[in-house]
Amino acid sequence: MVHTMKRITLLLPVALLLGPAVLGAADKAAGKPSVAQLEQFEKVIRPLLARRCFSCHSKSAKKLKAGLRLDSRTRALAGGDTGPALVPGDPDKSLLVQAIRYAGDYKMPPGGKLPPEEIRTLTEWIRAGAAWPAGGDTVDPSAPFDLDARRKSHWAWQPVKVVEPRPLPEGTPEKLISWATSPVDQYVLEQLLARKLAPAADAEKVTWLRRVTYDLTGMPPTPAEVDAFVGDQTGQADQKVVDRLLKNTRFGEHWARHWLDLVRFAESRGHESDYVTPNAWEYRDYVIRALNSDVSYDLFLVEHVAGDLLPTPRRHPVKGFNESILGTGFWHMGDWCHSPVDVRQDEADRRDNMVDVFSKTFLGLTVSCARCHDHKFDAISQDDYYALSGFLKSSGFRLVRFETIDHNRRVARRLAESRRQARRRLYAAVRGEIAAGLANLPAYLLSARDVIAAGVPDDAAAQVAAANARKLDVQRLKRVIAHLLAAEKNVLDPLHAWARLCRVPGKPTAEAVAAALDPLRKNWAGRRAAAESALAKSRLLVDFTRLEGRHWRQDGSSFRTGPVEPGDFVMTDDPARPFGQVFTRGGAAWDRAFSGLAVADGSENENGKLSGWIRAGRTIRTPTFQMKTGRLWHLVAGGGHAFASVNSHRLLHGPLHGRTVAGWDAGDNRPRWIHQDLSRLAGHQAHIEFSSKGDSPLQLFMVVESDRQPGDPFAGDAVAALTSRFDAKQAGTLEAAAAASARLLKTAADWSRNPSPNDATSQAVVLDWLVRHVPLLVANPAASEVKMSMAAGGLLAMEKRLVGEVKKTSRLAMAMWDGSAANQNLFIRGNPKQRGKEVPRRMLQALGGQPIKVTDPGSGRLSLAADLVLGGRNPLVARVMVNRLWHHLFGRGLVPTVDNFGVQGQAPSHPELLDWLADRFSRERWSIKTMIRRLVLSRTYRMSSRPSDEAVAADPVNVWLHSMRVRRLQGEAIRDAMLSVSGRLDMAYLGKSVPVYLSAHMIGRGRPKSGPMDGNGRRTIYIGVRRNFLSSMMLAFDTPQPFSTVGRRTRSNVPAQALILMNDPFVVSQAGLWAKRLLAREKLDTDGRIDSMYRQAFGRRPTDREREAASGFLVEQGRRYGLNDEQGPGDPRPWSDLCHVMFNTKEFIFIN
Amino acid sequence: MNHCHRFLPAPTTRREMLMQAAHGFGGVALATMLAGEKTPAAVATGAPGPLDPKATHYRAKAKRVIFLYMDGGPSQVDTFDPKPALAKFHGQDPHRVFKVEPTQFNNIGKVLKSPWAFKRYGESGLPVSALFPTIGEHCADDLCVVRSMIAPFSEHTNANFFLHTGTGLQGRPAHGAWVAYGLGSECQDLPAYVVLNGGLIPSGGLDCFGSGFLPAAFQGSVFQPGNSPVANITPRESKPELQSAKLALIKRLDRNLLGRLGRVDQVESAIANYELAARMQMAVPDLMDLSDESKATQSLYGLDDSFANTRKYGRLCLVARRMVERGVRFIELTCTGGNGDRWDQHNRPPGGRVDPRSEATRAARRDADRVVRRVRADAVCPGRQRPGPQPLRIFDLAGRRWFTCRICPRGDRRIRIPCGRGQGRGLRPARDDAAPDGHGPQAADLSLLEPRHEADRRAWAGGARVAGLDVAWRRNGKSVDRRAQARACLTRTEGVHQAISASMTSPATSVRRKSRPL
Repeated sequence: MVHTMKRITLLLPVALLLGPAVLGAADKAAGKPSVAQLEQFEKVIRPLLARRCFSCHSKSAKKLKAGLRLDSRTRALAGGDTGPALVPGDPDKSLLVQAIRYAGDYKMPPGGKLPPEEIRTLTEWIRAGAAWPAGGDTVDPSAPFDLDARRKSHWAWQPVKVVEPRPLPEGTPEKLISWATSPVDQYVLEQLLARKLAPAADAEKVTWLRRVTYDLTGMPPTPAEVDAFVGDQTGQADQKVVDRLLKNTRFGEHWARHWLDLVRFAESRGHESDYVTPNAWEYRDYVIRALNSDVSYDLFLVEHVAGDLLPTPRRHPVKGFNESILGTGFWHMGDWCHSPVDVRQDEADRRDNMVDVFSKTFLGLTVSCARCHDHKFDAISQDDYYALSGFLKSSGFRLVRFETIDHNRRVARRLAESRRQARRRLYAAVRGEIAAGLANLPAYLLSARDVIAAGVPDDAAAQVAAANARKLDVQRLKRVIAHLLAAEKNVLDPLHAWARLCRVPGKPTAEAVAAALDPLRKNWAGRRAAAESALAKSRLLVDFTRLEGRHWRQDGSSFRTGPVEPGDFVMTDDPARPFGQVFTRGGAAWDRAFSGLAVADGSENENGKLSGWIRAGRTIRTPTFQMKTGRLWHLVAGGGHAFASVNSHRLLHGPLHGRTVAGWDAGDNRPRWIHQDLSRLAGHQAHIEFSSKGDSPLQLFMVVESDRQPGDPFAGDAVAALTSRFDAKQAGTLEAAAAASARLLKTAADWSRNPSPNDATSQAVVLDWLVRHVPLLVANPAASEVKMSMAAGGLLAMEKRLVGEVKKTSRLAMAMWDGSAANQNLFIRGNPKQRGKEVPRRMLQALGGQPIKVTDPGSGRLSLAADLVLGGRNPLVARVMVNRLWHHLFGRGLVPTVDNFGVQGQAPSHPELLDWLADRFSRERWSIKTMIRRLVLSRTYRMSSRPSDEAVAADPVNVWLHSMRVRRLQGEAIRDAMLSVSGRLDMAYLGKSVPVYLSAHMIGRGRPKSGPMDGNGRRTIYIGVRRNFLSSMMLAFDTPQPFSTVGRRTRSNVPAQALILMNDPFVVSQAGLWAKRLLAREKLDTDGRIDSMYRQAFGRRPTDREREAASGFLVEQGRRYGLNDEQGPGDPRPWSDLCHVMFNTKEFIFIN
Repeated sequence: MNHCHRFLPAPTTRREMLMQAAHGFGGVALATMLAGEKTPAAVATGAPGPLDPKATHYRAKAKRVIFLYMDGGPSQVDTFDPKPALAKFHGQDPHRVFKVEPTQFNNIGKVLKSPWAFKRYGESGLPVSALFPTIGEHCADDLCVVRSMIAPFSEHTNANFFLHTGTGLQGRPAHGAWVAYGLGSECQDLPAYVVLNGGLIPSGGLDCFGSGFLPAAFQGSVFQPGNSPVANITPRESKPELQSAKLALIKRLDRNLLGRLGRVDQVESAIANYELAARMQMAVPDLMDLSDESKATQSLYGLDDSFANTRKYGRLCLVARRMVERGVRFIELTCTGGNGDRWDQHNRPPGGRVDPRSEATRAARRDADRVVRRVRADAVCPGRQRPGPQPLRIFDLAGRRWFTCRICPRGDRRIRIPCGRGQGRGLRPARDDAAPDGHGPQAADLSLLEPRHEADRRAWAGGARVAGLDVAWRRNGKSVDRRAQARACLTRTEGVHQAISASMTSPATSVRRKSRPL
């Protein structure tokens, strides 16, 4: 208190001094603070804030917390990360008050609750308007994030600018001038000369061949290839080699591995139990094929981002399946948690990984740094992060039937068209048949009444007499009588009202007619009232009967091409009676044409709780909604499965999220409510994915949230048509009532010609009745059936033919499933529980991203993809990719930080060369092969790896490319080379992965069955990648752990590498196989075999010393095995040891 | 270089980095710094290896870490953190008493008080439950018990990743990998970071010991029980001379290659690597062979115990000691597998399934008493548990879940008083303890290994974020900014702190920290 008193005495004069001046500047909304109020502020409030809050929330705070400052009114009103701290006049809405009361999410100050009187003081002050003199505001903009300034100041955002190579300076020796054989060389040479460096000499031919063969295919050249190349004197030898290598399918296998490093490719989800990522290998094969067929990189990129949305997807040239859609599988390669306790956080983490991989891979940007705050260095705002994240929010996961989806969709479209015709023509046929019968129906009804009212409905004579009285067909009259007797018991029959009147004796007055119909009207009214209140206290989440086209999202075609409409019908196999089920309610309806869908052998289904039935190609999803109570009710008919994807979580193992899956049997196929209780997840976002259970005729009408079971909202529709014709006015007399009954039917028949949506459901109910009761309206039913058969026959045949075209079996692959458009709310400080403003989906602002149009029906990924590659707006895509190619061929990128072109990355050593290449790349059809060809045929790539001493002294890191780098092979290439020389290599192309071999040291939960030690001889790219069981050989040789983009592998040097090459049973066994293969060549003597060995392993012949060393070793080692000197060179053991030595020489694992 | 905590450094070797920085000036500096301690590998090639020992800024109080990973985590309220208030709520619906977070199985029952009585031991008055009587008697004053750690995960795998790497997600470098990266190793015949596997690999698998984006050299090497503890350590050749002949020829051929290529660092290092590998082939069997230990020592470590798992675990402890003697930097012991011998208490209290009393007591005694006393006093030996159970009854008996204690022998005589208290009811640390969140253990280890902190620090009341740039110790309720000190460390330890800051902090933490600013 002593301190407080001091402050007051010090501050008081200042407050009084400032008073009048301040008043004018005070916030008008808060009213004019009185002098007394301001005095109170300075006396009490400011000291209190200073004492309790300023250490974290003021300009003088060492570290400003939550971005909130309480030392200025403007700042306090603007608030911090979580919004305004105060609402003058309303303490209850003020975050500050909640915090000091310890009532909300924040409990401030953190060290302990304030004494009650201080809380009261602050509360009252805010209630009184939070009077605060403005004079104390010293605006201190703490270095605001300036995106534009950052964009302008960093090289990577600038457009690609081509500066053609400059002529070399005067006096450059001719030898150097002629050294450059391509523009690439000219750029390199210019920089070398500027630093007084000279390029290294050309490498030896064989060195170059080994280099280029490994770089392009990841395999060593065969002796035959070496001979052919060395012997080629045409002057075109290099080009021929490069063209041959680029055509080889090994090219795609090798370069696909580079790509898989970027997209954290793996075939399991990691985490606790390492569940399978189904069919991930299909994506790997897609990449291999795309690289081999040199798909232009811009298309490759578009396919990754939005391959599922391309109007004309790329197809496999032979098998015809949809290639483009497979690209989207990369989004789903991340590690997934199977039972996250906090699904919101889990979703945020999954999406973060997707944004991270996307932005690093394609843009060389670390966008995910902006998850919690604007990027610390780059022109990337937090808004940018959530703008990208929104695309993912509007997109989901599926296993797509990529082999058949497009075909079946076309079939479904033709089926829909054929059914539209059938509907038109069959209803027309029915109308033609019954037109006359409808006109004279009132006469029949009156005659039938005569008979029934007389109490003799079954009396043949009475029937004949009644018929004759009005000149009617007696057989038809009989049918009408029989129907009326039955309809009397069915209150929903269109003739029920008339059936009742038939029981009114004599010739009733208008009052009697009205009286007879009164209870009926009450009954109908009751039903309508019940229907109207059916959904009271329910929250309608999804209405399938009114689902707009933009929300119609199904995987496959099992739910037709859109919702069924009232009056649509399923045809029976009997052309005489073609009307099967007539849909009286709209909604999503299962199409039996797509029953029996199956999964091809070798394809994997989803796992966990979603593995029990096939969802691929059989599923429809609702838009995403936010649950309030989580007590969901689905109005359905038929048997089905519902999977509620809450926060897009779908790896369902364990009990925690078990309720997100529901299943029910068909029962009597009547509409009913299915309950799914997700109240534990109340407040979360979810969408539901429905599919039929065992091809049951599932129909979906709506999803609501309600504490109790709702009623049937359609119950009133069945009586609506009846009510409209039998109100008191229209049915005054018997004649009028008969005419009303007929008009009721006539209206429905007319509606079928021109179906308006207004009273569709009620008209469809009558129409359904009408098509089943044609005999009541015609004299000769048999003749009608014949005519109907003629009308229906062709249509039925067409339907059958189309159904026969449906392809039932397909392989599955992971793909995007576009959801309905939704933007992402920013998470304050990256916390998914603190939702900030909604950010429109768009490309990064610094790359000219504009919010995508709100009319765009889906995620808008296609426009994101277009923003990436079209219009030359984006300088990064081409630069990043050519730099990656350069990195793999030269061992170091022009921008060494290949995944980070931001401020924290390194600047390009040769910016003009980089831009020239990027420009070429985009102008030459984005062809990866063309670019690689250009690079490996350059003089730069041809240089020897032996630099001059001066060059090493001046440029030890070889930034300026004075020589080629000596590079260790990637682990994959080392293993493949062993298989190749040992003869064990199985050259099979593509296909399901061979399970990884598990040594005794590879242990842990979810350990799968071990694969064969030698991987069946397949290339390493075909060996399974299980996140928790990565090949230990590959790990030791720096194959990255798949968690994010790794464009540049470490090249480490650890004892484990030596131990593997020395002692791993795989290596030893391959040495044995190689030895066997050499010994089998009987024509060769020992020296010949040693020669062959060197040629296979290193592409060259041994020197004499090497040959001597080898043959000496054979003899010596033979002796150690107890062999004599003649036996040694013929025994497999010393040979095997020699082969093993070859694997262990550095020449085997390095290229120079 | 004020990175945000989510920044992943591009994989650059130290050498590469230093060579690039100021055109090789850094390389010169490094060579000078390490001049006194050139390893054979470095001598052979003139190039520093990744595991060469690195200088620390301050004289370290500890040089190595033995990390006893107790899978499952016995609850703090049953071990070192008495919660008498629980008795009051015993048998009640927890939802009325606590804020109950969902768990993976979510079968939460009733509140359960501790079935064990507590007693205070030693000068420091450390409370220890009847579950660990021997610990109390033997070494209460040698322990530092941190009772205020909290993990934002109530699910096995995330919690394991968090405990091992500081991030609840897969793919980050493990604590041991960081230590190896930052300090190198004093033993060039063995890996710097070893996991002695008792049989139970934690949920999350080998990724708990991974090197993440650090070079492969720093990943944990898992030593298995049995004859071939390390992958590929045993020569395949039937006679040693067969292998040495091969190695001789390899060397000869490689020398030829060097003649052709000129001096290429990485090829030279790869050649030197073979010498190291060959030495490891010798060193590992020597390490694992306990026959040179006296009968008394073997008995002290429980190698003659009647309980198989005790024998197994005792063996691991003894091997760990031998590793420490040989200079291995970071050793982690996992639990013995089989027989349900894990500390996980899903449904039952300790004593329900197997009696962990014997195991627990012995383990703890071994940890604290024998291992530490016998081993040179330069090892930090944290017995660290996976975030443990909350004091809730599940089914009839009990299981507890939430946060955890950490025991470590003092590396500093002044650390004596147990600090941090779980909140009265045992769910969270008491608010005024300023919980050093999940990074406390890493902070603790690093503080003993490297930078010197407050000399008169009486307690671990640390609001410690192991971000080298953002270490603020809370002492006596006041915040002491150590940033400047940390920054000084940074310049001398070549980015290790910066890297640590990248790995050891997680978004989840910053989220939590928001509502509980330090």
